Amino acid sequence: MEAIKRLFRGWSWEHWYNLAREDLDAAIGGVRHTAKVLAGIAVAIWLVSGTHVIRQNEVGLKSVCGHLLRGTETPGLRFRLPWPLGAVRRVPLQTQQRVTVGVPAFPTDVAGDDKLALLKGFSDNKKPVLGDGLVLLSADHNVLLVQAVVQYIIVDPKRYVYGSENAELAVKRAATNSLLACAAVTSVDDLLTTARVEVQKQTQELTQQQVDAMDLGLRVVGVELQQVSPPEPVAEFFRGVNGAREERNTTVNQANQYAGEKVPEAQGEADRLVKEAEAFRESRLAAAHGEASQFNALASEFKSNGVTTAERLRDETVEATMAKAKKVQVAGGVDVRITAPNPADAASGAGTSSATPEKK
Amino acid sequence: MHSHAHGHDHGSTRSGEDAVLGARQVTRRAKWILGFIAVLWVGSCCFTVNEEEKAVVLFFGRPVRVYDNAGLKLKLPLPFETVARVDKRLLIYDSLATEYLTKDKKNIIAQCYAVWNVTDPSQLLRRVGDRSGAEQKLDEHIASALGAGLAQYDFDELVNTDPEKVKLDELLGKVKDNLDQTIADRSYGFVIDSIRFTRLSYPDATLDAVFRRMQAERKTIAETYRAEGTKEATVIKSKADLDKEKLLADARQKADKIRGDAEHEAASIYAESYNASPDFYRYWRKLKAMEKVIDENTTIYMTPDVDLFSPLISPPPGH
Repeated sequence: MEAIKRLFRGWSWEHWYNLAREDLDAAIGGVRHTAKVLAGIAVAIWLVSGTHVIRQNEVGLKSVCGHLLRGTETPGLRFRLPWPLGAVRRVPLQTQQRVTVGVPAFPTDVAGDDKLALLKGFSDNKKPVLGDGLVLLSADHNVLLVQAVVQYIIVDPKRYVYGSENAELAVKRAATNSLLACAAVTSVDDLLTTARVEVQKQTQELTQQQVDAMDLGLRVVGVELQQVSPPEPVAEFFRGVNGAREERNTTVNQANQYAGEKVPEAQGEADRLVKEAEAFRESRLAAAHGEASQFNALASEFKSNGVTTAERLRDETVEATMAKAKKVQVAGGVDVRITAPNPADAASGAGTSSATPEKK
Repeated sequence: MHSHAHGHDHGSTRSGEDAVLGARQVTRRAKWILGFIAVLWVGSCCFTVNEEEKAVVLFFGRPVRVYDNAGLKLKLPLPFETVARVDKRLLIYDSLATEYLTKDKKNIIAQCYAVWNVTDPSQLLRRVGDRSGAEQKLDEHIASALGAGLAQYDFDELVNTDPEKVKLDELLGKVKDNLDQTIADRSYGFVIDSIRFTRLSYPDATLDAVFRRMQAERKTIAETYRAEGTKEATVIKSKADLDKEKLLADARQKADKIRGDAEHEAASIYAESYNASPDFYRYWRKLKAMEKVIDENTTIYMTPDVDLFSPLISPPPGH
């Protein structure tokens, strides 16, 4: 309250001016002092700003007034002239760099028409929609979408930075061209299946050749085909071919299975037939031997006492056969004669016999 | 602010002493500002050329000197001399993707990348103004050179399953010769180091037809696979069947032979023993036959004087 009262006492321009003047003089004195201190600090910071750290796997390229100094800075705490007199560029040296070439798989957030534009790689103004879009034409005139990763390491940092405007872009373009050159002589089926490793190898070689021609100071250490796929409108038909190939294999496998079952089965059957025949042989021979020895026994018995044996055999036969026969009628006028051969007649071969009923 | 406020109040309320003080301060400030401007002006006599650049000093817009090497350089102060900088490294240029016609009248889209660099910056500035001007020239000349080159080759010479027939390198060699000639003639101050394709494709208009062709091809291949499968399966199955038949036939033949041999052997066994006593054999064989011939359906008529019944009629032997 007191201060306010003092302010309003003796109200005049003079009074106000004197008040302001006192304050301003005090303020300017303070500002001058502060400015000196700040300027001192700024100069110190400016000088110290030349200190920098080169990390592991990096080298520094130091320049003074734009002029590149000879040699490179090794990892550690280093000093350069402060800006704008000096500058340093850090270049990764031993670490592997990766660049991707080609269209990634269709992004899910792209609508139908844009997808086609992506595929075609052009919009209306004829500039590529994707700078790195890679639509390859195979040797047999098919269109393929390819994405590959190129890995390289920087071997000469100076050439890498000062050899070209953009070494990474140069590698990309070289790899794109190499892929195109490989695809131009490879059929779509090979590109999709067997030739992938070969294409990777060749792309690496061709890319290295172009990189060497440009002297970019880097070495291509690998090319990986990440994606090789037919465009969406035909992808289904390519899958169809795979399905058909599977189907063929299945059919052939089934046939092989059939053959695998049938042949051993037939083998078994064949073995069985032969075994059966052998068994028949065994039994046939056994029977023959049996019958022959039976006959021989009878024959020798017949030789020693002929009539009796003959009669016995005859009677046994009659017994067996007559017993079986339905009816046995005894009637006159019919003569059934069974004549046993006389061993005495055997030499002359005149023995006759008749087992059949004979009409008189 | 201070001097301004001072001046404002001067006429009406300030004493002469203060006025002199204020005027002195104004003068001091103006000196400072003038001094600063002078330093800047003198500073504009120096400029740096970076390692990746070549610099051209322009005297009122006219190139007068070229600095190829990096470092701190001198020139006349502004506005007499200005500096234009040009990247001296290799530059990558992407051509426009353009539709061309091959020798066999097929439309293709081709795009390429060219590696170029500025050899004579003052010439470049004089002829095309700046880098984007140079790129416009590249657009023009590359498009026409590619068009002329592609028109000399069939589509089959761009892509082919037979590497011998692919003439991409030859084509690009011609294109490059053509370009080198054109660019040298016009002395643009830059050169093209290499030019290579980054895209060979079908134009939008034919892409649908291409897709249809690809679809048809795939269908044919799929059918071929299926037919192949069926054919192979048939071959395998019929071979299996044949093998089976052959195995069985062989087995049957072998079995028959075994049986035949067995019969033969048996017959010879029989014959051996029968031949020893042929008379008895004949008798015995008939008895055997009887056993077979007479069965349940046989009716036999006999007279009582059959020898079999003799025991019923005659007295027993010995009486």
